Amino acid sequence: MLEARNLTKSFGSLTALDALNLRVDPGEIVCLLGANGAGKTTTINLFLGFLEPSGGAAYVDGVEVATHPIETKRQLAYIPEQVALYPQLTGLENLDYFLRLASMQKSAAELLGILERAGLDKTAAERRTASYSKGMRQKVGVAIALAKEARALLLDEPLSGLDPAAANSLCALLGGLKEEGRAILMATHDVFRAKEIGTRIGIMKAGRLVDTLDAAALDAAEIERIYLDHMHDGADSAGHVALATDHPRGAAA
Amino acid sequence: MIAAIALNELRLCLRNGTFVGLAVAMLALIAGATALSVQRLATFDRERAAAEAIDREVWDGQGARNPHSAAHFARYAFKPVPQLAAFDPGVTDYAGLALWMEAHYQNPAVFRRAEDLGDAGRFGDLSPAWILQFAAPLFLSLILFSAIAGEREQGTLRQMAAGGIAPPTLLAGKLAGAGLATAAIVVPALIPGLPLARSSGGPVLPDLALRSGGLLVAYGLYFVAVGGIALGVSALCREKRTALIALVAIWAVSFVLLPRLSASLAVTLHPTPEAAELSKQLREASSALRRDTAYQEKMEREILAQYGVDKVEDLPINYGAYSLQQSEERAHPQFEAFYARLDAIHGRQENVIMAASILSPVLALETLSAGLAGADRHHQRAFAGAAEAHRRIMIKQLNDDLMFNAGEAGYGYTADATLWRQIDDFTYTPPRFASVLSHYALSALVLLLYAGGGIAFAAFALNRAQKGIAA
Repeated sequence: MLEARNLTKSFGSLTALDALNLRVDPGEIVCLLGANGAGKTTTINLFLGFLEPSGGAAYVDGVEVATHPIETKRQLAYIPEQVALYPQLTGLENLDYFLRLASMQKSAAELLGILERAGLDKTAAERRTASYSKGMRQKVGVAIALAKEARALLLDEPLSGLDPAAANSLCALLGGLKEEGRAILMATHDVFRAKEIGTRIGIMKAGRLVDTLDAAALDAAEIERIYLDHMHDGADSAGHVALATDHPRGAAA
Repeated sequence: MIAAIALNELRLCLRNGTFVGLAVAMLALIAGATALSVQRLATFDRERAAAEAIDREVWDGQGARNPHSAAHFARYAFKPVPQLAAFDPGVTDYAGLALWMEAHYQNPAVFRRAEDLGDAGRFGDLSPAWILQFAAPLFLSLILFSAIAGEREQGTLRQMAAGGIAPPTLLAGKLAGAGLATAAIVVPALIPGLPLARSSGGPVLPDLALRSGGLLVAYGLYFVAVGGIALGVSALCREKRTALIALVAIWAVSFVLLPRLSASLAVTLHPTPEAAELSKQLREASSALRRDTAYQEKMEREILAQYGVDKVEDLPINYGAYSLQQSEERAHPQFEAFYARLDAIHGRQENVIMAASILSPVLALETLSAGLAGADRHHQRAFAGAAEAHRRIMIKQLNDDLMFNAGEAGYGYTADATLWRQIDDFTYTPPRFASVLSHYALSALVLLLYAGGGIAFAAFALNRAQKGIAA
């Protein structure tokens, strides 16, 4: 559903993303782990068409993003770290508006049902979002993705700053979407949450996908150790070096 | 999708206390100005009808007198103020509403309301057109400054872009939203009042409909231009506060300062002669025959030859009256040249203002709006031309009566109400818009270019904003 082929992005002499090869199939959650500046957000921006690739290409359902930015965006839902909503509108009105922007319409009852599924009750949904917590905003973001029936979701640090209950709730929702066959690409710093919900975990460093792990085959501590090895430039000595690959290390471990 | 964006803009406006406050103020301002203008127009019309009736009564009741003396007593031509002057009075208050049609002189119009107002006149009159031309751009700037910069600041621009909104769609939606918000204020403020504007001598259907439609299109183009500029500035600025400062500065310079500067520059470069100088030139035009002794001799020779006599005393007509009429006719081209010169000066002044309209669309709109309303210099000239044509007929009737009927009585001859009643009242039909259209082609073109340029600028800025969305 989501595919990067030698996807590269340079800003002048700085290579923010270096020949990324990655696939996210329907029913998969791929978590990209990495420090700030590793290239996670650049990857998401390239899939959203916010950036033009310097080399290679990003594809959504086989359609190249750079040449068909509007069409590919119709297939996507995007949930950033801070879901941006109109503070003068209620959660319900925000959902309705963003859905209309996607040329879709649903009745108020249907929208309330979707918001409820995303974890927002009717009272909250009918309140202006100026008073919403970050978690509530994330729920509206998920509701937009649900209502839009997006086939792929791009999430950029969606769990950052959420309290544990809200993070749990969001992870449960994402798990449900995965089961429904959505393809999900999520950038995160949180190793444990990545292990909890991810199908695969990609470790990014300085613009390169340096390792891909099978989340189910490794425990959280192992994933964290491998990640830290990479972060501390100790990857070679620890023997965990793997270039961008479609064959997760965990499968062989 | 455009409709969804437009309706959302309107909804956001209605939930914004600042907008609601501004909207109420604008609505009250336009509605108040419309009511005042309609009432003023009704007063003009009533006063004109009364003045015409009095003029007729005084003329008919002047008693027995010499027709040439009656020609000096003379009559007035009163200008009907067109209905659309209730929307845009143009030069109505400055150009004069009545013309004294006396013998020997093609007088300029008098009864300028601006003079009658005295010191209070410097505050000017609010007209709906003035508010739409000068206050509405500020209003549009205040509702559009955050249209893109605000979306960017709160992150919704990125959210929208992620949803696949193309810049042209966003632009059209935002402009339509601002248009709806403006229409929601302007239409209810104008509609109850303007249709009540009545004038017994203004343009009639279908010319009135054509002019009204033209005004609608002209102001539509103007708002598109201003909206496009405001949206473009909002898209170029990273913060809405910066956008607001930039737009208010543009408004102050382009919509307040520049029109005044261009008007001052126009009269500095092409000064209108002083009143004393104009008066002197008119006197000279009037005395064209008296100053041309060669022509006087030729004229005498010709009339004597025409009647086959040797001296004027043998003529079957009153030679004095004949001379008076010849003097009139000799002065006609002089007056025409005088007013053409004056018109050319005003034309050059307008050219300066049109040149300045490159920097400010309001200058092009001012010209076009007053023209469409039938209240500009060209329409004033048409009125003056019609009044002059009527004066020439009237004076000739009086001179002819003296010439053919004076007989032995000479200047002692008197006519009575029988003759006075033969003098028609001045009636005036304003020119059809199609006949004066060429005067406004340039200002219409400037407005059209501004509207296109405004949209192009906004589209460029929005594209740039969306490209920079990842930053």
